[in-house]
Amino acid sequence: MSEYYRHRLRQLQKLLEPGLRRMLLISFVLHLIVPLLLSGVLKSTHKTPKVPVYRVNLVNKPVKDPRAGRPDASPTKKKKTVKKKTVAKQIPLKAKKVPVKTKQTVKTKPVVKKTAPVKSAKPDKVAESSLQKRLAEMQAEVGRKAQLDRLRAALAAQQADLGKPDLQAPVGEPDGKGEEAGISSSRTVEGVITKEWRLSQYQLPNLDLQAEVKVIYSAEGKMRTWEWVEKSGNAQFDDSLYRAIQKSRDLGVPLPAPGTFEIIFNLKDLQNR
Amino acid sequence: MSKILSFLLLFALFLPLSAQAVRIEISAPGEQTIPLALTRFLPMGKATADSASEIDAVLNADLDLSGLFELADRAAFLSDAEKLGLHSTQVDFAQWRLLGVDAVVKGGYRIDGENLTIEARLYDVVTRQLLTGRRYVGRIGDERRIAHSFADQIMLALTGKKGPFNSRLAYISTRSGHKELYLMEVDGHNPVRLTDHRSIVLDPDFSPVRKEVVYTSYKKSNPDLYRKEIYTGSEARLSQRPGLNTGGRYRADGGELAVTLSKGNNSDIYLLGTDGSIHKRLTTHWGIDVAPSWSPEGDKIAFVSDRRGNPHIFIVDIDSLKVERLTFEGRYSATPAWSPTGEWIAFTRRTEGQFDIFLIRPDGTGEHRLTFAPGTKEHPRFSPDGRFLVYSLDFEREKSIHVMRIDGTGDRRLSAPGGNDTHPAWSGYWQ
Amino acid sequence: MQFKAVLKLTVLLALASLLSVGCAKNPKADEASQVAQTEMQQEKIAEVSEQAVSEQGSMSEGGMAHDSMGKMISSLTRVNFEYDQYVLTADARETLKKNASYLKAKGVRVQIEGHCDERGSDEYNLALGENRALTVKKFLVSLGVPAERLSIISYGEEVPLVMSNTEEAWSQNRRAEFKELN
Repeated sequence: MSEYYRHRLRQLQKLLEPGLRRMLLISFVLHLIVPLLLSGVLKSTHKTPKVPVYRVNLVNKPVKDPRAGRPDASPTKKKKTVKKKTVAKQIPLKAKKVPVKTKQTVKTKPVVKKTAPVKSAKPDKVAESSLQKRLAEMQAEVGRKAQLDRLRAALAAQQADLGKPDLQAPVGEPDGKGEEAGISSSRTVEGVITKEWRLSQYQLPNLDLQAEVKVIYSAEGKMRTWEWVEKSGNAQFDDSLYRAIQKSRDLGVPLPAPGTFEIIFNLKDLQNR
Repeated sequence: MSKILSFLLLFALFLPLSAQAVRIEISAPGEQTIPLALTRFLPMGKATADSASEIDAVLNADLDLSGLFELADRAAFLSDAEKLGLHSTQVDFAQWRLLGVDAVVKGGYRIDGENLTIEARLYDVVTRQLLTGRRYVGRIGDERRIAHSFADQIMLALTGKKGPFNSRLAYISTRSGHKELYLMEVDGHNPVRLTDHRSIVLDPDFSPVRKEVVYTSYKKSNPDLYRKEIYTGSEARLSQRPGLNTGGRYRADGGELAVTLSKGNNSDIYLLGTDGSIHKRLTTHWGIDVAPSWSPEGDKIAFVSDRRGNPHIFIVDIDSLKVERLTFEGRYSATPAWSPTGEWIAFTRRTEGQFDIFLIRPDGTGEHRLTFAPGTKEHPRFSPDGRFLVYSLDFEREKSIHVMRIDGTGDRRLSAPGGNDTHPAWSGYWQ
Repeated sequence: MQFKAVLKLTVLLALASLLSVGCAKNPKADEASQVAQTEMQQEKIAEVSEQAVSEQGSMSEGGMAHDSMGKMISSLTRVNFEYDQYVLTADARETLKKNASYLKAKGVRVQIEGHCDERGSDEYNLALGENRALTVKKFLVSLGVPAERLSIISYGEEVPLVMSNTEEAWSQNRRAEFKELN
């Protein structure tokens, strides 16, 4: 058999350059992996019910008193600016009062951590299900972007592939697995980096800037490495991102699994003001 | 075949790290201020509380006006704030990281007889890099100017554009009993009277290239245009044509002036050479044409005209003399001031019985109101970097000079109480 | 074996790529070269001369309106204007006709001062005052007063007659006055 292959190889060698052969091999391997992943062989058999996911952004506060010093900086005006924010942000604010919210993975807020077991200790099954229902309705309202959904699905699939989620995860689904955990890692990363990103619009010539970095975190929440995918070209903007990344070297909490994050930074929320 | 399998397994190990990245979009920074620790400057030798306090007060006020920073609470400072070590190897960056600041200002001063040396440094706490460092050599009494200069350097380091804090404001005040020309620092300190005409002095403008001001005065029984060198005090009449010689404004390169002349008849806009000779007549209209303001490129001039009935802002092209109307809203728009960045034209408009400051783009878009407080606001002028606007407020029969950011925030009064201060003009960069 | 070689190469490449990602570069230059020294220029603003000026001289030369008001001639009456207008009202025309006959009879030289109320921008008001004075001059000339005996000046809103922000005060401040010159 090996004689036959050697013969074939020699034949190919005559036809093709050696480098191309290597590439063909890698290509073949890659192609092999795709059906493997799609077939679900590596997927765990355990089916987790789809749990609605909400974004809780406790970190990205609106700018401090944006109309400071102006007589029109009245509370009504302020409310308006909050309303202008995406609906996605408003819903979690409401959801805060609901006990189910404690299942949300807000790892950066230890206060929530502590209250979580107390509040969900005696979950009334009826109340629980009705709350779930309400939350599901709220989610429908939110109407997430299709792209984000796809990303989440991909992430969930990946997390499932990577075996059992971390049971030590401080906050998450009661059983510590499922999609929730997957989402939580990106939420954690987003939360920490957003909090560490400090930039004043007075530093910039315009708000039409965007940059992208790739960050790899270990399961312990430590940054393994990071790199620029694309710089904005504006020194102040890029420097502020450099600082934000440097300050986010340790997330302070473990992640359910190690992960690579491609983070796009822009100023779309400021442009809408 | 087993080798292929082992290769596959190895590849699968790298897979989660490289192949499937999670995409996150962050569309605003967590906070729109830079957390900065401003330490008190320490003596490098003999200590004087005055020098340190003066530097501290100036830096504090300038950095606050910039709107860029959130100044960290001094009570939380650790031991490094008390250490003079200015070199990056001597600064305990870990302490500042602990405090959560992104940048720290450290400095020292030395007094040697009459001489004053101030060393100031701005460090990036995260990268532990020196962002800017300056050593100033001057005399005792230069503390404020040096601190303003360093505030400008901080702005340069963190925004790529120098701050305007070491420039000057000229304005008209009646503190002596007459309307005379005064000069002060941009935070309202050290006012100095420049004229003693004992008549009426009006509407100053700075030369962008020399330490010189132009203004109108009734000293010789006619509103003539004067110019005065600030440091020598020498004064000369630049234009003394019968009637109005008002609203003198230097082009950005100082080569020509735009001015309103009436020559005993109706007022129009003219270009004058720096010797006072008429280079060009820009408007020829039976209506009132006043208050010229140059575009930074020097190719256009905004002015006020009542040629369409009510006073409104118009723009004349200097080459073609083509006039285009800029403002349409309201019944009274006046005193245009073109931003040195070219992005905006500030002007005043009467709304509900008082004048307020508006901004509009030179193409007529983006018009919006900046001031809302009671009282009439007049004479808006931009800082040389285009970040701030200075104006005069007439409220409850008292006229005072105010400054704000061009988004209308950070408004504060500059002139001392009890005066009648109007007509501010902002100099160019002073050094 | 060739497979072995390929395997080694792949692992090496993977490791190398991971390492290269980890190398964050430091773009900032050496700090010693960045501490610039600035010599503060000595600058002293020219002292304002405070020498006494005789009041007499400053008045005749300065031409302040309130000085001039003291020299108002009773036979020449001031005229008032509508807001933001420099056309003559019927009242003003009547007044100016009387003034014209007085001027023709006495043959004096007169400066016409144009004034405005405080509302509006001062630059614009200077031009408005100029136009008010000019309108009065033209009307007097049309009534036969020689033009060379009439000069004009505008004080804009600088010299109000009544210091108050009422409609009454404003209407009094929108005016043209006459000052006899010798």
